[in-house]
Amino acid sequence: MSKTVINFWLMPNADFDTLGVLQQEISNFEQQNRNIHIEPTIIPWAHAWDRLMNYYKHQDELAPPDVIQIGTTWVPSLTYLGVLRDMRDFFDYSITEDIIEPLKNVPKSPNTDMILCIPWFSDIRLLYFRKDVLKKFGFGVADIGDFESFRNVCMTIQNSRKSDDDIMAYKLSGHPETIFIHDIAPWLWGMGGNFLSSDLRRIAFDKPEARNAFKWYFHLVNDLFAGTEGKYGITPPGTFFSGRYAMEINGKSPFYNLANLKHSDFSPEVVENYDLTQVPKGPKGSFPFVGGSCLATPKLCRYPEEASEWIRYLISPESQLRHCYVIGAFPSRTSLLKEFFKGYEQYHEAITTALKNGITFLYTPYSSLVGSLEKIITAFTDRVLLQIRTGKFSEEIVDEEIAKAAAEANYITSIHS
Amino acid sequence: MPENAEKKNKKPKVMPSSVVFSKESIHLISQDRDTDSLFTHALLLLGKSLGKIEATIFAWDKHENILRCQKVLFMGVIQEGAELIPLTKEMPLWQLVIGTTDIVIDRDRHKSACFALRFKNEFLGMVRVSLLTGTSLTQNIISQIHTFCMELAISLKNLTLFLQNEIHMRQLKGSFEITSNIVKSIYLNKLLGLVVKSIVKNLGFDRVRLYLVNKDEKLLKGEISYDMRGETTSLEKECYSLEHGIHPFVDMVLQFPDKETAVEFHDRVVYVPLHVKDQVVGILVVDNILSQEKITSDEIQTIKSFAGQIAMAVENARLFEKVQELSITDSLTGLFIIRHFKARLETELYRCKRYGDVMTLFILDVDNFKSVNDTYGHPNGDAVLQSIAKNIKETLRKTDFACRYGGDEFMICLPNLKSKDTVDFGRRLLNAILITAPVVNGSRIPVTLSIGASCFPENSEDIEEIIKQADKALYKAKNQGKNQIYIWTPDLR
Repeated sequence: MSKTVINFWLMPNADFDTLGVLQQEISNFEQQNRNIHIEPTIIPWAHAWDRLMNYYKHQDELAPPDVIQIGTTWVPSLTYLGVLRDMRDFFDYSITEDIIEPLKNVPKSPNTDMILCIPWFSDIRLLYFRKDVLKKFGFGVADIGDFESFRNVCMTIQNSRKSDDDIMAYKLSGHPETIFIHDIAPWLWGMGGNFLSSDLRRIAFDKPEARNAFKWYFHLVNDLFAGTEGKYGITPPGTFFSGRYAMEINGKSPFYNLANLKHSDFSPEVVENYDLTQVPKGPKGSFPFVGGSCLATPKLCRYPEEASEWIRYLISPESQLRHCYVIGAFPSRTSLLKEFFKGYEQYHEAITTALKNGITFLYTPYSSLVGSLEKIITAFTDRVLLQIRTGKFSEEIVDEEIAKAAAEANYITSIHS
Repeated sequence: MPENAEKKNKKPKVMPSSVVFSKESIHLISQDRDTDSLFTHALLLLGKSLGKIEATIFAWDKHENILRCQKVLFMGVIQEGAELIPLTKEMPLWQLVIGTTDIVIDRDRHKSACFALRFKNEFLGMVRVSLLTGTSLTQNIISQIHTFCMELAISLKNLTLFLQNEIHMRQLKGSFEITSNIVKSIYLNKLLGLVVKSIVKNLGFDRVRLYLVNKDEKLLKGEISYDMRGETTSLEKECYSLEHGIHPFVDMVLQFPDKETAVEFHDRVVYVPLHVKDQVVGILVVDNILSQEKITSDEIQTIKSFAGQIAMAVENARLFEKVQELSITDSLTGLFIIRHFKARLETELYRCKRYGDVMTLFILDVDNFKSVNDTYGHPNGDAVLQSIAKNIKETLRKTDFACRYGGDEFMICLPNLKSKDTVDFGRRLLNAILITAPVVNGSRIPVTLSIGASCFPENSEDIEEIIKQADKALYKAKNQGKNQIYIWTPDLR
């Protein structure tokens, strides 16, 4: 009997190991469902949006996807565009009951009550830091609790550097095309700014609070990395766990790092000395970005029933736990958090606090631009970073770039809302 | 924690004395059909041969003079990179760009080197290899990496051409469909719908909007929009006077034809003028603003190539509409001719019968029109008829329609006008005509009308009978002193 082939488009969730760690899940699933074969295609985050748009517009993929992994920030735009298939034939609302609070409403379209995607795993931003490095400079966790003290710690560490081999204070996210909005968000929200107005009808990132937040953050980046002529620029490869950095805001769970202790890039010194805490608090509070990845079936999915079976398997508690451990994500189910953090209760507490304060983007009829906004903000921050890199940073450049990005985002709202 | 979480790649601990990139492995990278796989395979091959390295592939952005990182291999793991290297002529790496060398070595430590990806004289990008073992790059290794990069450049160029070819084939296929749609309909509205739909469908833009210039009214009018969701939207609410500063689109139309196209928002919105000879008949706006895909110069060229055809098709459709209008309207008054009026009347009567609606028919005749012609001359007589027609058009509701029945006679069909409202309506029309008649030598030409009316189904259900009845009622109105309305009654039989 020939098998139904389900094409699964996913991101490199575990970098180059993605396929390897997924293989076990595929094998388990195929044993339980002998008439289905899962064919994974890994598409880098930076290209995934374009590839999806290209597929949606031209429909000329040789192997069109039946299940897609999508970022939570993309859900509003993809919903507006009608890319996603309503999954109510195979899932009911009870599926959303167990989802962690900030993502609870991500799957549902408020206009139609359709279920358009299901959170697979979550991305909760926390501040990783090296206790030993902070101690060496006479600091503790209390000294990285708010914007100004965080900045002070960063500058102290950075100013002490004498050679390229010395530890750097802070790691930027390093994925400017897709992730930067996650990184800039805590600083923006902490200062009382936002990307969109509260009714999500208009942009807000050009308002004074947001401008100040952008300037504050870029001043920090400039002070840390201005005129970097080194071969790596401002985002050298390697992770916080490689030992190159004293601090990093990261959305990966600590277990990824603990699970990879033998990886040659991971320094035992870091593993012994790291800890995590909330993102620094601004004048308005500490607000981490909560995002993650969802699973969805595109409208042109060929085998919706089989595709739904694969999704049902991936979001099952057992599969989700296993997968989250190895890719370094947090589960999307509230009921799994306790088990996930068994033996590491201190992390559970930090995550619970972050989830309480965390913010995500939700779909409303007016938020069609959220997915595009991510690209616009990224492109604008990219251009500012380039100026920082070449030692030409100024507040005027930030104002100029914000104005350009605002004009583009306003253009979208004028024709698409 | 699951055991499988601890699985890791094993890597060679010592640097090989020589590097061998087998022909088979190089052949393997030439089989890749997307750049992502090509770079991944190439980096893995480097890693496999060189051991503990960091290798990065950059693509050259010749417009901005930036090397953009595509992929990084770091300690056996492939990552997407974020690094950008803006180059200036003073930097050593500029030598790679201009082709004076293919290799730039880190002179201080000999731990890293940059290799050009060059195909013939075209600089495509760069591969940077750094040893993480503490040893230096030997001449032998440098030479082999250089050879490997030359092979990689050929594969990259072939792949780029292959991908470009695929895009061109798709554009060509799309072009045929768009061209056939442009000539598919002669009716303007249908034509515009077909054009915008086929452009979105075949060229893959997020949205296409079409605005046309109305020369008589000196306006730029929004016509139609179609987007990738498959939604058609009327743009009739967008209407701008053709004056500088009114709207950016108007400014663009006024700048054309000097300007061929205008591009905005980092190549994501393109404005294309629709020309016929030196006349701009409209503007086509295509955007990829939501999907954030750049519109390529190829796509701009493709859409420009259709602009002339679209403009010509629009002009033809407008001409056809004009001819069609002329064939059913009276050239003096602009009202329908009797043949078209009767056809419409039949349809209207059928509709009224089907839905149980009422309808009233008016026949109007200018009182003493012969003396108007004799006193004021025929040109002024014509002006009187035009003035009456204008008043009729302005007084009628959207569902009403009228024709010039004969020399100085008019006929009006008034659906849903009940017999009890007929007199009021007729009087309003008579008053309007009286006070707006043309002025000659400072005084208004005294014009009055008589109206005869018949109502469906009250008076008759037969079309010819209704016309006869209205005519008899008109005769009665004339006999009773003119400048009045008379509704048919059975005693007029």
